[in-house]
Amino acid sequence: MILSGLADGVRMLLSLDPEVWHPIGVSLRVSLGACVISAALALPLGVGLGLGRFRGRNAVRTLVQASMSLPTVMVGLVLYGLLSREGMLGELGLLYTPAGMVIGQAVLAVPIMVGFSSAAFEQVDPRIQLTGLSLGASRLRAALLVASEHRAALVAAVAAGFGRVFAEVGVSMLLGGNIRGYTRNITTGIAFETGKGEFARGVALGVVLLVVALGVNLLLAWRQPRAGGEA
Amino acid sequence: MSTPALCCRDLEVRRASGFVLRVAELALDAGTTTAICGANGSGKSTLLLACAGLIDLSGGAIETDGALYHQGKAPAPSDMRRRVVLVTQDPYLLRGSVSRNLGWGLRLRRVPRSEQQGRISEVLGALGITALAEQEAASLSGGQRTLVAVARALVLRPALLLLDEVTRDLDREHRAAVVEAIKKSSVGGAAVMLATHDQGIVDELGASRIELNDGEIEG
Repeated sequence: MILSGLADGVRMLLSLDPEVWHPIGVSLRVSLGACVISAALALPLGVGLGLGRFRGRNAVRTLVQASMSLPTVMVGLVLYGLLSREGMLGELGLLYTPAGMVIGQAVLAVPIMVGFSSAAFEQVDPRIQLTGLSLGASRLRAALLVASEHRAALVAAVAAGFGRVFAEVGVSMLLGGNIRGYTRNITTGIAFETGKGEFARGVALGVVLLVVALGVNLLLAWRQPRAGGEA
Repeated sequence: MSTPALCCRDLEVRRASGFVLRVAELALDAGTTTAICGANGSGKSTLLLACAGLIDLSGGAIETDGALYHQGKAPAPSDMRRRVVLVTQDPYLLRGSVSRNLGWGLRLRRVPRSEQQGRISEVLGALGITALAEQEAASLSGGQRTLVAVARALVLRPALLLLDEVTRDLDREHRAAVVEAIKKSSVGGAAVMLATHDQGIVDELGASRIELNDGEIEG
């Protein structure tokens, strides 16, 4: 059954079936959008948390680590409450829109990116910052130098965040509503198509999900050995 | 009487275990070379870090050319620190080529691009490492790394050059090149302070010698 589903699935991908390709487009747009927003917020926070020495740092770090495993359905539920018509942000009309999904996925990705990047920057060679400062850099410029020297760790953090949101279902289902041709993405599409007996279509979407997820992990594996290395 | 290029007054650096550095007064004039000698753990590197404005001072102050440069929390203001360059004992080289390493501080100081390459070539030539210009920093040996770090400092033409045991890992030929480069820098007007155990280099540079013992200047 799986093999025949796989063959049918590949055929559907090759025949450019819109029922397969539209959810793929939604997934890529939403998850990439969420990652861009998350990276802009999370990477400076992660670098600051990793390099900074301030009171309450351990508490912040514990909070971030705990948030990394937030159940996606719970995040979806809380945001649903905020974005629904009666919610605090209901007037924005973001529920059941790709923008709402982007917000939800960004909430999931931020702790992952902060956690990964701060963990990497806690381990950085203190000589990098000292080198920047001793050559006349400001504190900010020296921190940017450290980030630049460890950019592989930042790429890994973004890739981990992307891997998390690209494969999640809860937020997309609750905030996107799985609307055909609009908010249906790969994961909600798989659940929907399989549920109504269109196993091949579910497999076709599953193949793409797998390829992208594996690609992200390959990227991680390729970049990881260079992270934290010394010039 | 001219204003010293660097003047430390009542300098104190304290750690949890107590004072690691206490210097009542230390003045360096432009164009002079001063060697800081002393046993391991006597405070040589701490003194250089303090003079580079990179370590918290628990007391006292440092002035450059009569202007307050560092007091209290490190780092000192970056516009003041740009007059001072420190080469540490175990320098870190940035990813990329040797030229990129030398160009980093020049770009930070907005030295015109047309001038950068000339200055880089001149310093690499003076230290006899022109062949390393496009080599990846990660592929260099320990001695070569030290040479590149010295070149990265010299290319910035600092008013105060601080060197921590920079000749330790060098062969005779490159040691001589570094000594010549330090002399040239001093003749060019820089105040040079180097920490060393090597009396030979103190003599070759004609440096005045300061002995540190348990964080305090002897004599």
